[in-house]
Amino acid sequence: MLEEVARLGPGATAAALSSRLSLPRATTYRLVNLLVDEGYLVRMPDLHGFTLGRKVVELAHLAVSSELAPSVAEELRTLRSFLRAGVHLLRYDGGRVTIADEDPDFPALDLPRLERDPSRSAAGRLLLAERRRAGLATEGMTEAEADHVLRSFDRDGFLSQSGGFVVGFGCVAVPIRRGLHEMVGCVAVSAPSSRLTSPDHLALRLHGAAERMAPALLW
Amino acid sequence: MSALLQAIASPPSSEEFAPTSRVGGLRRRSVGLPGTFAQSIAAVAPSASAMTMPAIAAQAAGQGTVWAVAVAVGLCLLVASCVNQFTRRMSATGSLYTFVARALGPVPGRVAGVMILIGYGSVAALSAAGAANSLIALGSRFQPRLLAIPLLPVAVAISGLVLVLLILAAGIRVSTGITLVVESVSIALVLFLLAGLVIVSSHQSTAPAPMPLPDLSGLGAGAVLAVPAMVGFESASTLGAESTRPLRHVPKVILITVVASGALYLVSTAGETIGFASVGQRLATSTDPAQDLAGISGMPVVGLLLEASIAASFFGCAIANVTAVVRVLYTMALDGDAPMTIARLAPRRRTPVVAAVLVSSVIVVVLLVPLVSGYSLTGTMQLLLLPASTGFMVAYLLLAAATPSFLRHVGEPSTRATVIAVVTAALLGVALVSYLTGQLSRAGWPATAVLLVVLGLASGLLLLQSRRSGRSRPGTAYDQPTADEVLGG
Repeated sequence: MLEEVARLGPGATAAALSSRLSLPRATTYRLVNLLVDEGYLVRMPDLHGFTLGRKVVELAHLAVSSELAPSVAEELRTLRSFLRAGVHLLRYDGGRVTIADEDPDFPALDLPRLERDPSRSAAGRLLLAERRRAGLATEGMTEAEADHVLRSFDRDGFLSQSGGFVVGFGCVAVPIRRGLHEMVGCVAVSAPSSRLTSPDHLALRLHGAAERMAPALLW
Repeated sequence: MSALLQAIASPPSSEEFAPTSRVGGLRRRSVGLPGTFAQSIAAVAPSASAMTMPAIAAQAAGQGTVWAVAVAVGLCLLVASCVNQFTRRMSATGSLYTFVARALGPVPGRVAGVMILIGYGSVAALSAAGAANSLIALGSRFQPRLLAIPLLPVAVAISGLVLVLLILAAGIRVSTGITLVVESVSIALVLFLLAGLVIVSSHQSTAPAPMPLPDLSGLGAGAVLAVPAMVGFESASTLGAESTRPLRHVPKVILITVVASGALYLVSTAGETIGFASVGQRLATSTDPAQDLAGISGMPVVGLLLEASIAASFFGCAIANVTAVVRVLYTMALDGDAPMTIARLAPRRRTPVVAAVLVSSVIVVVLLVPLVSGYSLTGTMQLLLLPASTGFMVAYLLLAAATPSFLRHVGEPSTRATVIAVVTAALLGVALVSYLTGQLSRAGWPATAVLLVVLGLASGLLLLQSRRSGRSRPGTAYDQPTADEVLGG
């Protein structure tokens, strides 16, 4: 349905969609109204048909993750087979954390919450610390907290937390920088807290991978 | 690359989408499903109508009134189906005014607008009188001398309207919240009392009350008398801007209101028929069913609770109907069909205060004329019932007629919806004619005079509007999607 609206362009009517997709009209109307309800489609201001809503961009993120450069995929594969823990590639996009490549063997513990509430996970706090450095707003964290996190990060070069996101689990996040300063994402390892007793060793290995991945990421 | 991904990568132009909604001045996306529901159900005044309507309808349908009520519910379901073809696709604040104008053009739109204003306005005035009436009746049980105070009805009605104004000034969230509480209490009370009534009646007389199907003319006439009890269910369509998810909540609320109030009326009609039959009376002979039923139960407290419930129901109804009038006027002002000052919003609460004060003042005048001329509150209410019902029925008729045209206009034609719309319009036409001829022949010259005055006012308003028609574009002010909701916006 969304494909067809994209093909027809803004103003595609439900009747046109129904005939092009060979669906009964009533079914088309119901589907279209569902998509409008969810925000994937939007009615034109004069009510003559529909156009794509902003929410389809979220669908695009699913598409992006299947188009990682081979060298990046290889780095992630090596890390994952060595660490045998949840190794995830995350992207920082316009002040938001989004998953770029989730570990297929150890799925992220709570992806929606990770994306929604950055102040709880190491990956999210990394983003917030950088924003604090740039003087931007840090949602979910007070300025004092953000300062504290920033200091830890500057001291260690990575961020870790234990039990703050999910009880019994911890996470270590290492930045991926494009050029000298711009933090475009991070590599994060999520594992039971008992396995994260020496995060600095882990972070060293992750740093190496991050530096090798950075040039190949087209973010 | 698929067309979809291509569109995401380089989005098509979205220039037609404005950055803000035209009705965005109102407190956008602030009222949830309960509040939206409160608006529609309160506008119907379910408890008050549940008590008073069955006896009225029984004048035509006799002991089988419950069948006539069922027919009326069926007709309102058809109207709701037509209204929801609009509310599923358009989030608006102008109710049937915007919908008809969008589909049939400015002139029918303005007629529908003026008619729905008369409908909401008359019901608002009627409920103010009704609330005052029930309050005074309640008070007089404890202090009979209240009844002797001259102009007390006027004072109570005006105080009630001032209170309504204050509640509206507190903002739409507060006013819908209050309405929800008031109506819930009122409906719960009525249901409880009706249940009690049926139980008591079944003790007094084990013979089942017969409810025979009336003949066709009795059925039709009874149904037509029952329809006015259900009008107002569409008033949630004035909360398009303020509802959190209008395209979802408003159609749902409209349907639930018809079903819930219809169910309540069927229960109350059956209950009252049984109640009266158990003491050998017929429903149609009662002039004050609430008191008569209290008498049947033998417990004075029943009468007290009923009066309280009716007073609450009418009060909530007044709030809801003034809310609706105000928003239709606001929309008309935005479209150019009313002076722009009416669309002035209060700075913090974002409600149309100028419109609210104007409407309340008009209602006060409308109530004062009969009250000061010697009519009782009940008599005033009866005078207002005629313009109220007429206004709604004409507006519904126009809406049903507008539905097929609207569906074609948005590129979603449907044979089923068109058939429903045509049938609804035809039934409403018959109902309207039947209602008017029936009422005018029975009620005599005061009712005719009221109707003529109201129609005269309506025509005057329409004339004024058509003079500004160069600068007005009815049906354009509604909650259109904004640029930030669109891909690439």
